[in-house]
Amino acid sequence: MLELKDLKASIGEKSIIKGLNLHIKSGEVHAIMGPNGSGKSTLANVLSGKNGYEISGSLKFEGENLNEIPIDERAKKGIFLAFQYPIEIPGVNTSNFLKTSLNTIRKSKGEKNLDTITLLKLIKEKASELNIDEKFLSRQLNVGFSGGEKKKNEILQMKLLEPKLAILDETDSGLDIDALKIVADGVNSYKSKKNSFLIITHYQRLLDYIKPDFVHVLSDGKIVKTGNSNLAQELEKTGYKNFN
Amino acid sequence: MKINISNDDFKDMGLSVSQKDFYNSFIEMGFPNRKKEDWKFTDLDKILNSNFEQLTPLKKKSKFKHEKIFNFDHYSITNLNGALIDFVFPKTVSLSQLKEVNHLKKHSIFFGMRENLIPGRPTVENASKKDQMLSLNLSFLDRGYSFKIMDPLDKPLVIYNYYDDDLRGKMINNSNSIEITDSKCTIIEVDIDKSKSKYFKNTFQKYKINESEVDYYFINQNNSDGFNYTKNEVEINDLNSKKGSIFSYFIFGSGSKFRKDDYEISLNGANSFAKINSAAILKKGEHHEVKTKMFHSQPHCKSHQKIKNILLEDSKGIFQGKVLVSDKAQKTDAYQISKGLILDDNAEFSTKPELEIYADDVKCSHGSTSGNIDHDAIYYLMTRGLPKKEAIKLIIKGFLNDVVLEITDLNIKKLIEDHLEENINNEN
Repeated sequence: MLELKDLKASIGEKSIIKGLNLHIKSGEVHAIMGPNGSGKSTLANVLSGKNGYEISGSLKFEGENLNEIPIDERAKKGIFLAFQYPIEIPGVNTSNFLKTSLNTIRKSKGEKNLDTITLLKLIKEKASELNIDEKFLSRQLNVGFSGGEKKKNEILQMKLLEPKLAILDETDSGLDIDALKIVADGVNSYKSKKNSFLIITHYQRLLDYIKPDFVHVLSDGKIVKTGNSNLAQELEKTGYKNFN
Repeated sequence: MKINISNDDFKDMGLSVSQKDFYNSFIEMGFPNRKKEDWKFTDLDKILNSNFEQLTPLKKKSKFKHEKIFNFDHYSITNLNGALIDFVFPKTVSLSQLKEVNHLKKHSIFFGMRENLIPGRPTVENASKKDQMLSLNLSFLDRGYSFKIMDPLDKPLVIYNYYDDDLRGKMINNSNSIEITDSKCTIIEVDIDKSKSKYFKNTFQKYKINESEVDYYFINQNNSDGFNYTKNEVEINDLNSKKGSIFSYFIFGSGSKFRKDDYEISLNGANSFAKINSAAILKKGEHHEVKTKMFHSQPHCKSHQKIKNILLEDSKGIFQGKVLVSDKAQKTDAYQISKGLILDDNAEFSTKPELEIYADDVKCSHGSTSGNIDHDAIYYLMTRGLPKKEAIKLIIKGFLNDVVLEITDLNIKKLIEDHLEENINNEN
């Protein structure tokens, strides 16, 4: 599904990702762990298409080169990024935003626009699975949301938009144990043979709930070790000092 | 700026001798420039000079068959080039006969209130000497209307302001008066001008609100090269009621080459509440100023002002807002916020909030911000499949939304959303 070969990314003079290789197949869950500043969030940004990076190497999604494809087109192809810090957008009603986004994505797949009533029903259904209060849907997008609410809102969007590849950028940070469990349940219920996950995290905590097939250690812009879920537990004990 | 007028023209227009005095006084002063504090950000003299060779007072009062543009049930007043041409008024409510302003009346229309408004206001002559726009208006004033609403209205009243296609180089001076007593009503004033000709309109409008709840919407449906200055004097009087009048004024002013909407609002009765809400999307070459003076002369009054501007290309948005609280006006609650979202390096947003407070137990606040669009917000929305253009549109709508949310009537809300939507789409 996703294939990165010798991927490099830099901002100005500063190179951040320095030759990264990664292959994610359908149905797989990959975790990327690594110390602060190792390039984890940059990787998430680059995959989503964020501007401002100089990119070299190959970045393929379902066999197609993504390099020149803008952010919104990548979303339509099925790449979803759950933000580490979801952006507050004043004045934009959360459920209106969800409706607009969902219908845009549906349209690109050649599916019909859903009418407001069906949409609202769908949104409410998914929201209740995530234990999200309905009132929250009529609030302004992410404005004044708690850390946990923001992260749940990201997972709600993921479940609505049904991406092929979901990238979760430190979705566990700022979550209490209950919220962490709800978010993990949300992810697990969405997991299937058809879609894949790339989970970016500092800690093993989230991986207790979402079991990864592969764990990669990212250090100084490169993957320096790959293993199975045992690697995450090992890292929890030893830290990243061996990789610095 | 040369005004093209001869002695014969004065006669032809049926203007009185005293009007000529106003004209002479205006000529002495000329159009206001930026040296005048009230015109600090809008150098009218310079703006007119660079757009007109001369201004010729419009003489004719034409008639034409107009189409009502709103499809909901409403009463109407129709003006063409500032002159009253038609009205449909309810029979069931006591709405006094609409009058076209005539010569006998026009001076009293203006000054009665003006003197009440500003305590110790000097005589008519002195007043007009201080205000060159008023002098100019009185020099050529030959059109306008006046009416009273004395009961609640069961339908909105729409004031249609149409314009001829050919007003190139013309100047219109009109004056209107609206008095509303013991009523609850909605008034929508809409400017409809697609002519693309440059003209200058100088309007003086007064409102007397007595023990009433009034929602007033001004909607500019223009996409024109018109130059408009409108001075609105609002007097809110609550003599008996404990509840107090509520006057909500909405300004949707985008779409003209030049607009300055100038408000002097006076809260003269305890418990009155005045609201000013403005949302504008300003585009190429547009200059739009909202200027307010809010006089709190009695205790327990509230005034809330919210100004939101989106600025594109080389547009200029301006807000000058002054809140004046007299020593009697204890427990005043005055709030003012102006925000500009600047989308182009050549666009400007200037704002000057002022508070002048003589009472000691009041709650007054003001704030002003301006900035660029949040690129992270565009990025975020794009990762959800929205093309960049749509993402920007959504952010713009969100920015203006807290003004739109103030509208309680669903028909009007839809109208305003469409108006803003059209302005956003035109931009792209």
